[in-house]
Amino acid sequence: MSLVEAQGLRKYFSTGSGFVARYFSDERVHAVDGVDLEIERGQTMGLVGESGCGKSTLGNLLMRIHEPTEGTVSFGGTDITALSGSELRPYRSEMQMVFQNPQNSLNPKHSVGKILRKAIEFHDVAQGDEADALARQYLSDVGLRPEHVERYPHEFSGGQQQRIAIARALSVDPEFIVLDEPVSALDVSVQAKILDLIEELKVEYDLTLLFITHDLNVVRHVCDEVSVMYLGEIVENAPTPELFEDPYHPYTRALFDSITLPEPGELEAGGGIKGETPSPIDPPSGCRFRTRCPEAMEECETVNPELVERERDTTAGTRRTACHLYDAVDD
Amino acid sequence: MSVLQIDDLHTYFDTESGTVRAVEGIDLTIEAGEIVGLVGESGSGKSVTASSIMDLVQHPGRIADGTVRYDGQDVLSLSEDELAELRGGEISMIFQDPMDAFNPTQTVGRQLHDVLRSHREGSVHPLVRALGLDHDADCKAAVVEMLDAVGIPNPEARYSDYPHEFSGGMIQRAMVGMALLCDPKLVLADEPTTGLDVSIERQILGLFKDLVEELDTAVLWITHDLSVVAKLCDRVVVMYAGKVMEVGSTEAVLSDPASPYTQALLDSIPRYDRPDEEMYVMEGDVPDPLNRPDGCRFADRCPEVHDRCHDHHPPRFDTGDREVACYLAEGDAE
Repeated sequence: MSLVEAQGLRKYFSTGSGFVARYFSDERVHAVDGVDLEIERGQTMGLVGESGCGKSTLGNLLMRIHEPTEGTVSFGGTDITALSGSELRPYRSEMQMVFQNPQNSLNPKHSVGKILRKAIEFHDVAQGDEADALARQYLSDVGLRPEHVERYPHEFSGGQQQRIAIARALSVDPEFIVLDEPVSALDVSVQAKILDLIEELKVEYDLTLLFITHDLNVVRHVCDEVSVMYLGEIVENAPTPELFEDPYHPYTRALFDSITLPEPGELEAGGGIKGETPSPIDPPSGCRFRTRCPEAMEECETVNPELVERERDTTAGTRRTACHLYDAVDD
Repeated sequence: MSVLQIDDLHTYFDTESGTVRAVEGIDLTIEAGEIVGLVGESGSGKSVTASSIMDLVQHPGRIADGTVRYDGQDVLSLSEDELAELRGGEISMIFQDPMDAFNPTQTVGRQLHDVLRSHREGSVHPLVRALGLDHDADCKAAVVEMLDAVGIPNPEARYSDYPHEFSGGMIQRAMVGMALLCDPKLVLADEPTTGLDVSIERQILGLFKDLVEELDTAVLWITHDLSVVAKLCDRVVVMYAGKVMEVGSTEAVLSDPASPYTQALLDSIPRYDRPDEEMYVMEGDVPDPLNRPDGCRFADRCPEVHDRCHDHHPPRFDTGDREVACYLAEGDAE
């Protein structure tokens, strides 16, 4: 059964900050525009896409950090978009988040112990000395020393700060953690350590993860399933091995072509994606990728393809692709 | 004569807690038209090396020892005026965040124009510049041409746009354009594609490589990303904790690393084409810059460490296609 499920999720932001812009302007940034997503219990779902595709906004919507413009998010069968603030509170401890830059998400004026204790006590996991003991325990779980509770965030390296952020997320005993580019700001040697830690903790604490990243090399190693986003929509969704074996959507294929490996050689001419992502304020009609797609057809201009199952290979897991190229195959 | 020759550079920072030896004895040469990658993790001293080349190290930093020669002249002994002439003219820089490098209150075209103008005919009186009376049609034409060359669509119109009106990829293209505008002999690029999406990064790398080949410009490309080095650079210098660990042709160093550090760095990179291979996890952390080991800087984390590694940092052994600071290479030394 799926733990987290989004249906018809949309989030539009008004472009101006003033009263007039907010209420009288039609200009909206279509950050997330009609997303259906299911994350199975115990799975790691990778969410990939380039800057501005809406992947972080989607993560925030699932946490209900943003209110959706339209659509629902259910967590363990409960529609959390319909809940009031106090009703939502028990769910908050079930859903946690780890961000890209720990310097920005850890209060520099609080000791690490206080940062963890505040989370533990706020969500009423434990109080007082018991909370303190838990804080120490979680610190050692993420590979730091229990006595580090006395130190402040600036006394740690970037990798260690990310460990603290992970410890804080874990400390309220969540079921689901959204990791938003958790290793993108780290050096490769540190990145490998944190990815290892995430894998380990996932098993130990029986977690379900949404791993938001732009790095497809990382996705291959940590995710069970991958959703590819482009301009506010999910264009392809498949189990990781199948997706890497045979990406269906032209955007996914182009993204894969852009991956660089540390192997000496020339950049292949023609690899990668031409041009830039169009503005999410006024996305192209029909398929949003058609303006950059090497295989765009007439139909793509008018009809936006739906994200539906295109199960060409019965041995592969279920996969969905939003592309007219595969319409004929299914008929 | 090499375009750039650095010998035994030491750059130190005097802090309250002690002296941080950010760069400890770097040697580096760049020939005309050559692209050299300077690779290292945070704290390896790669960016400090770049600032030292332009004599831009800020207080409390100081260049404690060594020489930097650009085109045969000793950069560190030049006066401020002479340095200003060099910077942005014959030596230019590209930074990671172009939004920080551009002035948000002036149009991109104007800023490029000013760079070209100030290096073209010597100095213009500040008052003339402030009033905008130094505008030069030739310079504008050259700027538009450059914006076009770096792949900015509709360059004539974009000339009058402000930095915030450019996308991340486009403003980095403009930055590349600004760096190449005065036909420099040497470009220092500090992580210029790090914040960009892979598809945009690819476009910029391709464009940059073509342009510098055409202009025969020498480049020092500073990065933490070995996959960028692999595609762009002729030679690579691998730094760790203020020291050069390995120098050689990109082909040799990346296909068959001789230094255990280079090997470990390569093995830590997850690869989509090797899903069943475990990522290598380097033990321990980068040594504290205030308290670095006396021996090999990498000894405490090295899988192939010997007793002697703890005594002295190894000298660089020349093994023909590269130089390696590791005792393992001693037997192969020529």
